[in-house]
Amino acid sequence: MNRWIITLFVGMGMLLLFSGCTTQPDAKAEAKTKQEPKVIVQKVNKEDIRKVLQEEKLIYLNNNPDRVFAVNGEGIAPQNTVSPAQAMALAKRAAVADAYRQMAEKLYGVQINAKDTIKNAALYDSRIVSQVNGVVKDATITEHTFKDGLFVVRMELKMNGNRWKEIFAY
Amino acid sequence: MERNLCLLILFTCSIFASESFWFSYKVATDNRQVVFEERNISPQMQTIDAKKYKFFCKIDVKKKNTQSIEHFLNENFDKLLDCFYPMSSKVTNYTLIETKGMLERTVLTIIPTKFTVDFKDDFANINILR
Repeated sequence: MNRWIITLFVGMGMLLLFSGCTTQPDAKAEAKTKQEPKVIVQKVNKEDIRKVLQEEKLIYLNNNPDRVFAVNGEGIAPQNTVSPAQAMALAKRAAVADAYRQMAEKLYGVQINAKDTIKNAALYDSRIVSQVNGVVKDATITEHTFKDGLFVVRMELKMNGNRWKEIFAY
Repeated sequence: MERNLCLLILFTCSIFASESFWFSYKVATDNRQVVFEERNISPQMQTIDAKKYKFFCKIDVKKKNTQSIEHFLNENFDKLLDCFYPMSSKVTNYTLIETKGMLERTVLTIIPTKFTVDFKDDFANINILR
């Protein structure tokens, strides 16, 4: 009889041991995992993104962003020169100066002041003053001609588009 | 005393001012005609390491053996000027338009630049200090 009672107690103990001692899931940890979604970090090449965007026509990429500024400067030969060579040389100097002025106008802009005076309901005096100031670098003379005392030079300035935007685009 | 001072200056020139020069230029035009021109080529009284100079342009003219460098540069000033235009040119323009007429005045200045000349391949190579 005792043996049966001992066996019963041992059986109940074993049942309690394997069934009743299960742990409850940690509620805090579960909430944390729900709050923080998994973050996947993937490295992407910038060039690949650009290529995809260009193919999809989402952006416009210019592979040759050089900008060319071209001007034609004119110079007149003075009348009181000793020789035609001197006249040509001086006309060239004036033409180059004029070309640089035009280039500075394009790059830096022009300051204009104007004043009109009206007297007795009529225009008495009109005065327009324009000023240009600037420094021009790396401009090249590509063509020049001398005809009938007029020297004409073609001047070009090549500049990278990004550089131009940094300096002059405002 | 004056003679000694002059001799000292000449001696200093011969030692330090060998092939290094200053270049500057200014031209003023009124209504697109040249009215003023100033050109300066002067020896440099300062020793600077030759490695700091960088090649800038070439003048395709051979120098005579008896000719001094300064004389050579003055003789080929037009070519030298074409060489220096892209360096850094400051331009100032003033245009006045009135009922009577107009005046357009432009002043172009090439700021003073240090340069050296060498004749390695018979032609004059201009090296500048940026």
